[in-house]
Amino acid sequence: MKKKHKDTIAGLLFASPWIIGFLIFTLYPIIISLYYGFTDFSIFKPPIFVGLDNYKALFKDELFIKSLNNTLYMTAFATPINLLFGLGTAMLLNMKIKGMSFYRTIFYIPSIVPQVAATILWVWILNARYGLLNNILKIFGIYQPNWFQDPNYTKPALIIMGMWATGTIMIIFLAALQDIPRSFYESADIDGANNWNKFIKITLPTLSPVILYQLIVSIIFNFQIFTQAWVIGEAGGGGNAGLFGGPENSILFYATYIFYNAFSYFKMGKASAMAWILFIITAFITWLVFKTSNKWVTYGGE
Amino acid sequence: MKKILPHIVLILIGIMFIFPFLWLLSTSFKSGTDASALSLNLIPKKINWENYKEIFVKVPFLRYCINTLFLAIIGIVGQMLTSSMVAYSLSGINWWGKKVLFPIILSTILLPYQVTMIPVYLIYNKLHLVGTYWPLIIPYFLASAINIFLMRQFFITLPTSLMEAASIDGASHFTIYTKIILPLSKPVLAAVSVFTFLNVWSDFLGPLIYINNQSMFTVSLGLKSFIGEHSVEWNLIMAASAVTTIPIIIIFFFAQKQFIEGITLTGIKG
Amino acid sequence: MLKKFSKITVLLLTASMVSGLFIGCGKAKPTVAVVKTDVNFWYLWGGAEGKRVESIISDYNKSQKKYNVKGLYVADMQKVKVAIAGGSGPDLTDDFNGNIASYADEGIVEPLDSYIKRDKIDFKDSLTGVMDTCKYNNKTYAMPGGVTFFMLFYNKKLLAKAGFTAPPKTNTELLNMAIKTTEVNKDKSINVLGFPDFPFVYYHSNLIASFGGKLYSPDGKFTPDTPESISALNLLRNYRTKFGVDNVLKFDQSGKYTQATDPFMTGNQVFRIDGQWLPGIIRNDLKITKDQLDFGICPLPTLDGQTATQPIAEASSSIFYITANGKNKEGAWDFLKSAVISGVWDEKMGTLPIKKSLLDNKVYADIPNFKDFADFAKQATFVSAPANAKMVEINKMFGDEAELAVTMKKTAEEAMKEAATKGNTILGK
Repeated sequence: MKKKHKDTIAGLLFASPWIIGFLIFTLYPIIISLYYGFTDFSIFKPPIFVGLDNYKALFKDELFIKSLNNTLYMTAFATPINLLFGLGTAMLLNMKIKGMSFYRTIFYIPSIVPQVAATILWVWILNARYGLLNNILKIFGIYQPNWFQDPNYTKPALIIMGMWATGTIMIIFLAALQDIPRSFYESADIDGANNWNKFIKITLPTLSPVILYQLIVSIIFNFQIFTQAWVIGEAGGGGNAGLFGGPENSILFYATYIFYNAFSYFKMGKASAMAWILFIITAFITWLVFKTSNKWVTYGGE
Repeated sequence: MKKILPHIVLILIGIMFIFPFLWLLSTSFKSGTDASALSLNLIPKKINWENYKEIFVKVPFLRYCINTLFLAIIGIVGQMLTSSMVAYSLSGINWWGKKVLFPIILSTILLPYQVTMIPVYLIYNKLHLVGTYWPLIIPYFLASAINIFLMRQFFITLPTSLMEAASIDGASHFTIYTKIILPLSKPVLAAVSVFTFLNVWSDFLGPLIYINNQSMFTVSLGLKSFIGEHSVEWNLIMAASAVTTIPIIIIFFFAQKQFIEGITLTGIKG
Repeated sequence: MLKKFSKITVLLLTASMVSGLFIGCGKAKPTVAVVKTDVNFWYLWGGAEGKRVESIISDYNKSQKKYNVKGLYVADMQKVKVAIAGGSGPDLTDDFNGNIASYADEGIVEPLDSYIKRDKIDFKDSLTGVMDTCKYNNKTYAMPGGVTFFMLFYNKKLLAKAGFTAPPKTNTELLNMAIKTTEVNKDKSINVLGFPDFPFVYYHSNLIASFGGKLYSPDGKFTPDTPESISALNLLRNYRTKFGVDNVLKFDQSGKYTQATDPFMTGNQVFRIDGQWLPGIIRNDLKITKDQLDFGICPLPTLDGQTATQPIAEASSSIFYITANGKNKEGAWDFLKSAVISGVWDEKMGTLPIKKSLLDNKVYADIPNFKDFADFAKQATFVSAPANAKMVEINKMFGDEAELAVTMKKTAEEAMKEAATKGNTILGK
């Protein structure tokens, strides 16, 4: 009895940093931001309850719809592209080749470059006139898009930037690949399976838990894309006379729009409502992915 | 032939990954007009070392680096301390929290930061802490879910016999934590340090929201404001970007193992 | 904050009393120690300009004994507003005139009419229309400083090359000259841009003003669909149609504004709409000589078919306002009087003075081409959109619609009709 008592106190003490942080900076804010979502709140005056007005207004707000579309677009395209690219490069790196650690380093480093610097670098590389990419395209006679001023190409530009930074995904897949027992492949070889079969029947299923994890993390990450879009708004070659959102608001993302509403327009109520909608969407998609995962994820061996 | 194909692809992709870097460095050494010239010259006509000097003159970049380093060190200390404490409570202590708290902690990883961003800001505003470093420092002393996870996974691999023996000898949890667990946890502590450093160095949103005073800027914020208000030439912009990137690359070369181990731990066991 | 204040007061009192003792020993009359009260002034200027602000501040501090202004450079206006809201803001700060209405509505600015009346300040000498930038609902909420307006710069050599001896006066003339002076490469990319389409802003509202149009009706309705506005958009559209929107946009990426690669500086841009800082940058900062770049300055074009009236231009200014919950409003006002209203600020910063009589100030003689702007300012009427609390939102929407018009996704009429509807919805009219 006494030991249990002592243990409980010890447990609480040791966990206290997190518990305190959780109560003050997570739980309380979650609850109060729900409340703010139902108010008209510019921080110069106390919040005024307005019921569902914010939510109603949001669905009529063109910029809100645009930001949601842009974010969904990025998530829907960037997620599978990054996962495939990460898996592909991981498989390449899994080969028994000399200098593998050198390649691994090269492939991984771009992902740790600070986001602001990486964004700025790519804005330069994708400069329509002097950028590296367009000049290379020119040599091959391919159309050179106006990456940051043509609304059709701004998001693809971001996707390219994202692919450069898939190092983390790659490393995780690589470690998972190396965990797959050689015996699996050997017995498949005996059965006369070709490479493609081996991939489909052994590699993918064994990797599926890791793929699931990466999928969820990527989706959540892409939903919150902020820094790149923000920096492009300043450093990118113009676009809509310097107003935020890029050409035709093509890179107005959910997180940046929340930020503008909160800290530029001081519409804390509207921003809080947006945050909660994001929360619900994220939770729903995560649940959905988990639910359908039973169909394709196999845990532990065969 | 089939054997060479993967090599070729590897090399091509390798070039795609590294070329932007080389381009960054190359542009950073060019002159302003040379940088904008319509050429694919990787080697600049002349190595303009003064570009780097100029950016330190135009903006107090050294100050930004020192500020960020300061925050990083505090952050590392805070994380090593608090995340390990919480991780210990989830592994070495048998109490109800051990099973209950862990899933809650993990689920907070999925919470979009936007939900808490505004109220947290208002809290700090009420406490008159906006414009100081406190809002950036405090979270590092309240443990972070990912680091808790990393450390807890590591702790549970430690042999329980050690702890049981110590406990029988009458050692308190505190003693076990400091004298047994921590010394054995150097690998994971190193990983956490490295990741924390990376986070602090790259952090943009936090400083964007909370720091007003230019002399208090961090490296990411400083870089962004440098290009925003000064409308400078691309060569200087690239030089400044290089300055913010190179410390990370150096750390990576020294701590490769920690990086890789840390990531794979989160990824595989996640 | 308060604690700090009283600590400083005690220190100052002690210090001055002690020094007063020493001074008193040597002189017949003992001096009475005066304690300077602090005035916190947060400003938006950094870099070289920030240093000039600091020298204005230190000159003021030395010139009087009541107030000690402490300046702080804050890069981001949002931070200032939040600090004000949280009660830890400055006494005095600056911003751009478009924001004054929302600030007044939020109750964060101190109305200034009573101060003006009490100290008997009159603004008769100010540039016509400039004081309006600081008014909202007929109350004065701020003092203007650093008025800016745009004029048309032109490259004399490139114009002459195409056979033009004088700059354009109307929009039709501008379009004609822009088209004739543009030089295109074999692959259709633009080598010399005739139109003032760089930097990538629309100058839409500036052209509307010089065309004699108004963005708001007297009863406060948003009127972006006036003939003047549509003509301004069509001017841009017609040029872009001729040379291709894509090519024009790509040209915009070819150099950096006010750097050595700026196309106007390199002689790759014929016309440029810009402000009075440009000649200084060209001649002093970039050291480009007249031989390398010979340019002229003239007013923005008027609308074809209009009768000649007094020249109009859109003006914007920085505005200085005293915060409603500031701790030292009198100090802030005193600084405003001595440094801003007097014209010292504009002198030191090299910006256009508010008072007409100061336009010929010798101080400006060294600034390249200042005279062109000053001469225009003497006879022009300046307009600015009347302040309203929804301005930021409306401007964003307005910019979005204009963008659709000049990238040929909509006609100018369609875009502006849409803008009118949306704008008035936002305004609730």
